[in-house]
Amino acid sequence: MAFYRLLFLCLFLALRVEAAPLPELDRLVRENNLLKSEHQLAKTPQVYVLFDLVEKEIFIKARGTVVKELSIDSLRIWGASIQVKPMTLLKKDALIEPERKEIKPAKEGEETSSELQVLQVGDMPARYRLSFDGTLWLYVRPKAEGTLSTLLNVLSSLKSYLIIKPLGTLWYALRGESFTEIVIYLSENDARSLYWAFQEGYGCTVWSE
Amino acid sequence: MNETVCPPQEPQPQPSGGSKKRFLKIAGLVALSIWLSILAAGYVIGWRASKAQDMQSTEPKPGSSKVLKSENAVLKKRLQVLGPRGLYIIIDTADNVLYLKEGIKTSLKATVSAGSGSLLIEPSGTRRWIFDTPRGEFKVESKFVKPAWVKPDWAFIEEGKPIPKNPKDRVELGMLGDYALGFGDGYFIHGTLYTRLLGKNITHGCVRVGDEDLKILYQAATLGTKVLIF
Repeated sequence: MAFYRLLFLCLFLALRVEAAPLPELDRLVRENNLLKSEHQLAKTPQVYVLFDLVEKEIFIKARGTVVKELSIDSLRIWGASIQVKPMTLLKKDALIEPERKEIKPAKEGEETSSELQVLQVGDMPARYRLSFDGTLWLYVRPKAEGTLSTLLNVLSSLKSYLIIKPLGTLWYALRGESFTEIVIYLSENDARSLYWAFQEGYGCTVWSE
Repeated sequence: MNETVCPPQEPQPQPSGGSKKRFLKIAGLVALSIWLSILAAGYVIGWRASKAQDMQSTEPKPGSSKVLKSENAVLKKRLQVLGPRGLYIIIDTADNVLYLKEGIKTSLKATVSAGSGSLLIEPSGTRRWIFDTPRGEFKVESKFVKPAWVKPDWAFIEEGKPIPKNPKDRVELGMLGDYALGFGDGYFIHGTLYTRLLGKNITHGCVRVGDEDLKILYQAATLGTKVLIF
């Protein structure tokens, strides 16, 4: 019984962790870090992503210009606070990853196949994990719209609360590192669009309080 | 009369279902306790980490507010300078939409077709092509009226035809529409005969645009106009 009490106490405390409003100077320092990070990312011709967890927006940008804006429906942050710095997307993981379709060349004298061998945004997953420098894991999930997605989100949350958060934290703590898990819920289309636009090797920065 | 008396047998301890159950119950409880301890340890460490970093938040020196404000203003300006000036083109390859913009004002929104993302492997296995539209920042490098398509090797391989030796045999007229804007590495924004496929990822990497939108784009864009593709 004591264990259950301890567990519920820990869960309660974990859920109660909320960032206090930052004082003005601290905010300016963080804004400074954000601008420096973004400047570093915008200096390259590559597309990059800015996760604004304060305003619940995701900005896909190139050269400092917003090319697409996605709204975050809701989010959860766990663990060490996120440093505002340029990061690189190392890996995207999904249960079913999209595969390129192979064009079968026509044989001599044959007509080219009229079947379209294409990869569209609709083929992208809406539920996936983005890994950055190893200690930050960002999960993207579609907001629940229907029984199946609600059930999958409940299962994902259980996995997060019972496995990822405690084990991830413990594992990284044993290695002397901090661990952060972010879960963001987007509309299904936006989740797929983000998967499409945010390629491995691209830069990003996360802005959170 | 001899009477044989069997000594009373001592009751043998028999593995009963009860003790097995008890053992499993204890093992389960131990496993659960270990698991819950790990959970609790993880949560406590995570909670302390988030609290510790909140308290450790940067403490700027008094009076540095002005310095930071001016530094931030400079950084914002530097970011603005990096962005495109004047007209620029944004191509969303996921939604197959092209925007012609100036600042935040959009003067054209066109449905286009971007790369199919398909893979073509030469039957001999020596060469392979991935038909993606390149992403990132580019600029208009060339402009053509009534462009001719010089078919690359992959077009012949896909059609199952031999690759011609004479370069003239590669030229095909009318395939690219009335105008073409080159943005580097052989990629173009051009017209199409297959207007019903606009809005789909169907091309070999170029960006196909409908006739009317292409005309507007051709007239507006100049050499050097920035093209942002994502």
